[in-house]
Amino acid sequence: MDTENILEFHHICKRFPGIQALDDVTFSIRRGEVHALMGENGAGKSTLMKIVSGLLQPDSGELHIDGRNVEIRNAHQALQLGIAMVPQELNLVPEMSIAENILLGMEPRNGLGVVDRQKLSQRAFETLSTLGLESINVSQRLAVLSIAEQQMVQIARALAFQCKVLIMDEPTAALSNREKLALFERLRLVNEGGTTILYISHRMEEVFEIADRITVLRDGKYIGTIESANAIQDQVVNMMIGRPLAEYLHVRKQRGAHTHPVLEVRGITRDGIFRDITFQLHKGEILGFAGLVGARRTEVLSSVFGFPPPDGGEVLINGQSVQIHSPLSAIEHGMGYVHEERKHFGIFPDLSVLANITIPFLRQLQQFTVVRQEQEVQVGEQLVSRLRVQTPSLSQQIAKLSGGNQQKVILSRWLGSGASILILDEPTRGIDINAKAEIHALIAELAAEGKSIVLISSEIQELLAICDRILVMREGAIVGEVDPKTATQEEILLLAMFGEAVDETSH
Amino acid sequence: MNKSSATVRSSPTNPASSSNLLSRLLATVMQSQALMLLVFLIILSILITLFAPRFIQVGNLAVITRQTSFISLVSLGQLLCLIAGVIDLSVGATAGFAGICAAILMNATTLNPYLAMAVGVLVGATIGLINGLLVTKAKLNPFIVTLSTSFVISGLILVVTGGWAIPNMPETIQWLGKDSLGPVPIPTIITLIVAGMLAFWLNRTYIGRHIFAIGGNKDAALLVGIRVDRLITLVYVLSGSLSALAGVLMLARLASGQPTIGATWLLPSFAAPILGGAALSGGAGSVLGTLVGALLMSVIQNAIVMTGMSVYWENVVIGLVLIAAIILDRVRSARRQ
Repeated sequence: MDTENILEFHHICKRFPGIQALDDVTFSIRRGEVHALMGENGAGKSTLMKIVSGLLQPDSGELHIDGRNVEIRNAHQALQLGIAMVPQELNLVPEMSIAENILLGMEPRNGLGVVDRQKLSQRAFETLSTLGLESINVSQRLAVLSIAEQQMVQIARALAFQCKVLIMDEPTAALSNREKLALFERLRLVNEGGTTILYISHRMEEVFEIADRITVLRDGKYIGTIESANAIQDQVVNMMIGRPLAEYLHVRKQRGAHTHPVLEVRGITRDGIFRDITFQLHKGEILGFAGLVGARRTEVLSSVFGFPPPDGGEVLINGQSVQIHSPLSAIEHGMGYVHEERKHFGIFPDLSVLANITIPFLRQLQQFTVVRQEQEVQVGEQLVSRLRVQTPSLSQQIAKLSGGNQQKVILSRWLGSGASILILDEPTRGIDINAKAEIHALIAELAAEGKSIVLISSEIQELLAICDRILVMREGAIVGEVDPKTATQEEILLLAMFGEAVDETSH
Repeated sequence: MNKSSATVRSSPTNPASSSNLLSRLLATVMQSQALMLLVFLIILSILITLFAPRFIQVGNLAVITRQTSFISLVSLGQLLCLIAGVIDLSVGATAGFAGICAAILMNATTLNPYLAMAVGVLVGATIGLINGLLVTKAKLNPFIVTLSTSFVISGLILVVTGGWAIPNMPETIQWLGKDSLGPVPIPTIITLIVAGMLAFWLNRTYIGRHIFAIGGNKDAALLVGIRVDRLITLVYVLSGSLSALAGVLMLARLASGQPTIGATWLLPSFAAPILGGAALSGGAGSVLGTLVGALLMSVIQNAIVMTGMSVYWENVVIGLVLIAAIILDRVRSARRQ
């Protein structure tokens, strides 16, 4: 006998040192629906999902599946109960075949206990067919697939386990628009097959596109659930941040003309990656870089930062030609770089908040190589309070902070180092709306102080709201420049999709 | 371990209430791997004393601390490597080769014996430099590089000595290995001085902090302008030098150049830092913890002798301790996430 609700949360509480991650959360997921879970980072979404998938146990409260009270002690048990998660970072084995990946841990065996290759391929093929992916050759290595296709493999894996609830954690973070549409089509197929989908995302439009109902969490508390058909976006945003939408957008202020170029990039090239990139960044300017996935914006800007240096071309800082062969020389020339992958290229997870802030400019704080600790703490305190980093203390381990606060710590590094040219690569990706608004305000403030900023962002709205100029890239080349005061989102998107490289003869 | 804030608070102690002090002391003990290990060591020592009362005699304790000093020096080198996220499998062989080089110089030349010892340490530094350059410039895997250099060096020891000891070391240097200041053996004093300097260097200078950062996240370290390759090379040079120092001190203690000096030091060199809180994945570790870890290893070795077990059990026990240390490391890293 099927109950109406497949999954129910009853008074779930979970506490971590210094933070109540989940506070008396009660709501339910209906059988067969697509249910979106929204909320800022630190709202408790991931904690709740970890509890459902058995990676964490609640301090108190009950979890009901099919009306029965269950305790999920590990991921394996969650799978047995029919709950499968497709994590943001896929956990597949690139060197194994697609079929092996789909059926990992449940390979069909023949009478001798040896894996039955034929049956393995057959069953993998069948599973992919239910997703409409008959064209994929299951005997290939997984690594030949694109990220979007690998995600399908991960979904197929969940289906092969006959999951009843499929949890998708920010599935579109790494996808292009076309891939996203394809994903939604497959998810609808899966949903029509009777699988309940729990969908976690920051992106408002797609949640409205795919979800039947939307639940919002804020600061570990359940705020409410609404039918997406009856809701408008502002309503959800209000639930997420507790204040109206209009307050946090459009921080661009009227600033003076930008005439003094601090960074000039002339025709830099990296073979096979990007070619003939030329642009100028002026003092006090915020220069945006728009483009789709694969436009190579990160590659260009990290190359300007010497990571790794370009094969050819010239870089000038304040009119002087400079050789930037490593991040160290870029830093010595007054640059700072916030990488798009905070976890792999940003934080030192084991170190304290303070150590994470001062690491690029410890040399400035030393005397006979010994770090002057009073001064270090003083600088740290100033930066933490200026950026409103929420941390119990400077000695808190950074890995324990939320994404938005980690990002503020990384930004504060380059304020502390006195960098005058800041390259910010997706600085607001994956962080909550409040922190995002604060970072936007900070960027505007820094530009007003005379710092020059390059902003890479995949959110065109963000670029339009805060940049002075926007360059659009496509497939390793700059294809156009637009004025955010007059340009529209569509205009930029068209350039990013179909633009041809402009002939730079002006210098 | 706490690298920044603990030392900041070292303001002049005010006469706070003693109960507050006691609870803070307890909290500190619970937080520090080194102090927890020390508590364990004390309990273990009491147990051993119950079975073999001779264990606790001053003479025996001096034997233990003297033995500990050699393992400690090698382990401190390994600690530096572990913090930076690399490993050095050549520590034992380097110690042996440095000892042999110094012994030959003392025997075959008129060089001042102290200078000969210094040359021995320099040889160790050079081996470290080669390891470091192979790892950073040639981009080779630290495990294979140092395993290979270890084989090359132990092979060279046999080539040079033919497997025989080099006897009759000059009397002048032997006090460095054999004498004591009061009850404290000279090698122990040297080790404590070196350890103190190293702890200060690691925790208080920007170079030391950069080494922690490299082990914690190498890519992020590059992006904040840390000279990763240069510091990893430096770490290998220091590791080689510390191992060599242990080797030449052992030479002074044995009064002869033994080709097997250092042969059994490799495993303890891992066990001591890891027991003391170093992470196999890099970015964490403490000098104090390493010293306590090394002391624990010596106590176990000594207990085997004192309780009348066959010395052949020694390797078995040390292997098991290393496994225990690695399990501890797993538990710790699981808890960090």
